[in-house]
Amino acid sequence: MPTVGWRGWLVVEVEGALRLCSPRYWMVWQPRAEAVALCRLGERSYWPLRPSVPAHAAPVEGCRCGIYAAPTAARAAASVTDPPRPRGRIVHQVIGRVSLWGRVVECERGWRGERAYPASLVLPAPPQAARRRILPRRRQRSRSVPALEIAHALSAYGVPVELVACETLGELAAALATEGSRQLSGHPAAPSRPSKSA
Amino acid sequence: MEIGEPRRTYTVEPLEDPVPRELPEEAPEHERPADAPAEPEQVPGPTR
Repeated sequence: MPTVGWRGWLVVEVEGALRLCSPRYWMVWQPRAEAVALCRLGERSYWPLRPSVPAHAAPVEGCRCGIYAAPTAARAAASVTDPPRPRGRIVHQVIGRVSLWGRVVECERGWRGERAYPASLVLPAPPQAARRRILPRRRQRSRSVPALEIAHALSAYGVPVELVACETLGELAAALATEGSRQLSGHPAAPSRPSKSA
Repeated sequence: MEIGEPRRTYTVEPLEDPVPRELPEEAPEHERPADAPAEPEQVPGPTR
């Protein structure tokens, strides 16, 4: 069974489609294909204080590489920020459960995995999300996207997608925290409840 | 995401694929061979 934790993603528009994207390094997650960790320490623009670390397969304990997951939704929500140099249009932010497998480094407050794929996704959606539109972040001139449209687009990943009526990821995490079964400690995922949409 | 210092490393090989791959397209329905036996005809019962 894979290790299952929580993490956050940006929802970005890539070639006309909405896709999940890691917030820190702008790695787009493709539907129905696992994400594979790569250590970018060898790239000069990253980590200038440690340029001489030899290349290695991610993750290893002596580095900070790998695909990250946290034990709680709150930690995952707090980690989602816009990247300093986005390479595309950021439409929304989501959190969800993520499966990690391959080599996994267990840390004090989470995990770093070699391979990963979302197990479920949860979107904050303002009340009456079907009618309200979520403004894209940063580029306000771009068209806005309804929350339901985002949820339907993310159904391409083939995992449960759920809309929760709230405004922010923080509120979403607080709502999820009331459901004890969602607070994971590295155990396999509990059976998903039916999604409300998508 | 700040997750602290490493504790241990392990390897996970899931028994089931965590990725919902694309379902294979359904194979076309097999046609009945030309020499397949036909349905038996119903024979009317004896008349009294």
